[in-house]
Amino acid sequence: MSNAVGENVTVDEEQYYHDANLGAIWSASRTLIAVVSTLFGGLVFSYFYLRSLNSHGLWDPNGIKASPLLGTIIMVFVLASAVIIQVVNRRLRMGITIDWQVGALAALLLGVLAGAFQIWILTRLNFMPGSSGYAGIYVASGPVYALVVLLSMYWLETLIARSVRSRRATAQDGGIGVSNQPGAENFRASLDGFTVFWTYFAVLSIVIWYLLYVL
Amino acid sequence: MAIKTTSFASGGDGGRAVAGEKKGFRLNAFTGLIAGGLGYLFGHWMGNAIAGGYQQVIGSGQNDIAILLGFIFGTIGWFLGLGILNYPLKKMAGIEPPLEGYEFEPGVMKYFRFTLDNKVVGIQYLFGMLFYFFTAGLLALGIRTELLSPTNHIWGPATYLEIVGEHGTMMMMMMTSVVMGPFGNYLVPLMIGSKRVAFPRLEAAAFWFTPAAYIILLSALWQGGFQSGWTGYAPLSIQQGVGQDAYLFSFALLGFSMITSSINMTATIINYRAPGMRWSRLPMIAWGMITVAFTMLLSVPILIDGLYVMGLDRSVQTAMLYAGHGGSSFLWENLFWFFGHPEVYLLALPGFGLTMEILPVFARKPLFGYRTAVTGMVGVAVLSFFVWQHHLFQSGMNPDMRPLFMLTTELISIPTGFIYLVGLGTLWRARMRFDVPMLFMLAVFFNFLFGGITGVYVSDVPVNVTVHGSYFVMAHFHYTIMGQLIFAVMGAIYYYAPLYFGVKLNEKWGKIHFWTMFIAFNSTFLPLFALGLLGMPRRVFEYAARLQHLNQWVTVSSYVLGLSLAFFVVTFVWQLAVTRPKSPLNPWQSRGLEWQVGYPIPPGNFDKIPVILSGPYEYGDPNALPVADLTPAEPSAVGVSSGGEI
Repeated sequence: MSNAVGENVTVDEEQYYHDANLGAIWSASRTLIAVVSTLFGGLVFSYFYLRSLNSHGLWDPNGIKASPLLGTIIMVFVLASAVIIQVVNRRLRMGITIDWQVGALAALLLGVLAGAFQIWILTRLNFMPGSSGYAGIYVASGPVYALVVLLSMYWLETLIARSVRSRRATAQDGGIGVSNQPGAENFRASLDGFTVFWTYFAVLSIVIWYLLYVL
Repeated sequence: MAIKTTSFASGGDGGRAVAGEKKGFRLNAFTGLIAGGLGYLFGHWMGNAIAGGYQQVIGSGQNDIAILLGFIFGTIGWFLGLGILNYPLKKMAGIEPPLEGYEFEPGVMKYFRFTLDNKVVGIQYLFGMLFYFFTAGLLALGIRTELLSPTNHIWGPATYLEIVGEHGTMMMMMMTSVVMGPFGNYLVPLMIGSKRVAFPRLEAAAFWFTPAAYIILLSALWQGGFQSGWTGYAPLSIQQGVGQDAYLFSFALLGFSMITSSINMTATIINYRAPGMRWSRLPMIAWGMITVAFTMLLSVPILIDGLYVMGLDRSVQTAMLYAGHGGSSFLWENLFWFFGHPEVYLLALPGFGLTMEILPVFARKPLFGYRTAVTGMVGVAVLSFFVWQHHLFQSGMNPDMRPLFMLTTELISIPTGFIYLVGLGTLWRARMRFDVPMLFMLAVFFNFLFGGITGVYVSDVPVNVTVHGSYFVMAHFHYTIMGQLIFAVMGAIYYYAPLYFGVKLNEKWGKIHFWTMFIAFNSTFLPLFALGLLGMPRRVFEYAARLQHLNQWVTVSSYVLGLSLAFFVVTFVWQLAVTRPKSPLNPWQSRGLEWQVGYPIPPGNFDKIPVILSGPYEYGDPNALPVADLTPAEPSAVGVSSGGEI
């Protein structure tokens, strides 16, 4: 990390900014976790605030919830997507790019389906948006959840597209998962950032599922 | 050393933004406006198609869904028209476009484009922020004009409240970026010895959110305004016309701007510091930026949640802010103030950063208690998350909770006091130079004394109960925000004009500006304390006749304040555009790294990555090393990480 070389400090500029860039991706992906946590934190606060107030007994007077079956499917899809990414990342690090690409496509498909199901549920609700506190919170949470899932899938899609586009450039030195080319290192940094974020979001999805469909 | 981009997505291309090579037509703010207008029309049409037949739309004649979809698609169009979305679309095809900048382009058109040069973005922000500030200032004069008389009116009551809401929202919303935008983006890379920021596209996009937010917010005026004021309390905000949609959408846009800007700022300061730029050498502006950025990242999403909830209640008829259907208007108050009170410190911390940066230059002494000042800034940032409930002291909250939040609010005066005392310590026995920037910085201390001390009073529950909603509170926060932040910004403009524009602003005109502004500011806002104690409530356009003389005094003073600021605008523009009085290099003899690169600043900030040798505030120390070696020997294979020890 540091280098004490007295008066004659010199810096390999290209390497320096490359390392800085990798660090920036690391910082930004973790920052993103903080931002998304706060975003959902506000909604979770609203959930508990209205639930604890239970104004005029209207938190959830008839016990009507959004479809637990679909809610569970969404949560499982996100969870499965995160697990697949974790598994195929190991294959990528072993230089088996094609396995990663296939696995990432499957994870992408599951994520997109989860987002799509979330939107679909919102069109099939068995309560009116203003019928209760729970109804309001559900209608508020659904689009945010779908948006975060779909934006995450956008991130994954860019990684898949990049791995495909760089196939030839990195083929000679073992593929994008092991290559020492700056572009490959940059790709892996972004993939690491995505994996940490998506794993975190999968855990967050369990919490949200419990609050919205079970509790 | 020119850094080349590699053929495949290196991501390590970041030594320097590559000059745009494309000739001919390029997307700009005008194409953005056209695309934004078309997007708005499309969204509005879609909203009418979707919700035109809804019962509440037919019944009220008000289609909030159409308005909000218009804003959403209008903003997407604006971004498309500016070319901001080209990059994310190319990424979908796996293409990693190089960093393109227009920094070599002569003329002013680059300031109307989405550009990746941190200095261009800083100047875009500077003029943008001044424009927003003066718009809000004109609205303030409209308020004061109405209050010349307790009974004769210029505006109707509804119009008056619209103006009050616009003024408050524009000031509190737009001015969150008044330091990070123009000064953070421009100066931080220079100060930490970097050729670039971490995410130039995020940085540039953060600016282009602001004109969209400004236009949408201003559009509320001809859509009936929003009489809920900048705090947007429910249920009034739910019952308002479509002007309230403009409020919530523009505020949310600014929220996204703050988040994107903060992600870039934190990543830049953490990762792009030059070798030798240890945390203990980090300039105070950079400390101000990173503390504010973290505060924004953890508070702004909650504001966006609140605005989103308000938008849903208004458009799709949820009832989260309406007690009759299981909601609560206090939910909004909590979500809003969880952002709203840290926001006060989002405004104050960068102002202190500027002040701490500039004071030692004119005191010719090291910053007294660097670590204490940093501790103060971090302390304020952390504690700012634990005070928001003091805004709800009279909301009917559990009385047992009030002492807790009273205590936390009072506690925050301790780290604030650290910063204040560091400033005073820096001035102690200094041989000060009373140039215009220094006068503004001294005024910051004078003004903040009123704002800070009254802040301790109003956090006490008994006083709070007495003065809540009165002009006393208004005087308090104008002293802390305008008296501190805006004075610091004005001083910084005079201070950094030679670096930004190669122009040293006229000292005599600057002093006329300073003294008129300083006297008129105090003459405007000091009497408001008295008015508040005499019982004048906020947001009313009629008041007791016995308060007329004081109100007239305040209004006339506000006109002088307005004239003073108009004088600044005229002389500033005149000197930049017409006379351009050339500044010597580093006219203030600052040790700051940003001043060592000369003028004009090279396109990539530095020819080589500098090596930092000492701190920026070691004034008066004959043995102090120069702040940096700007021309270290030729590159070798030695790896040195960001901020590494030297």
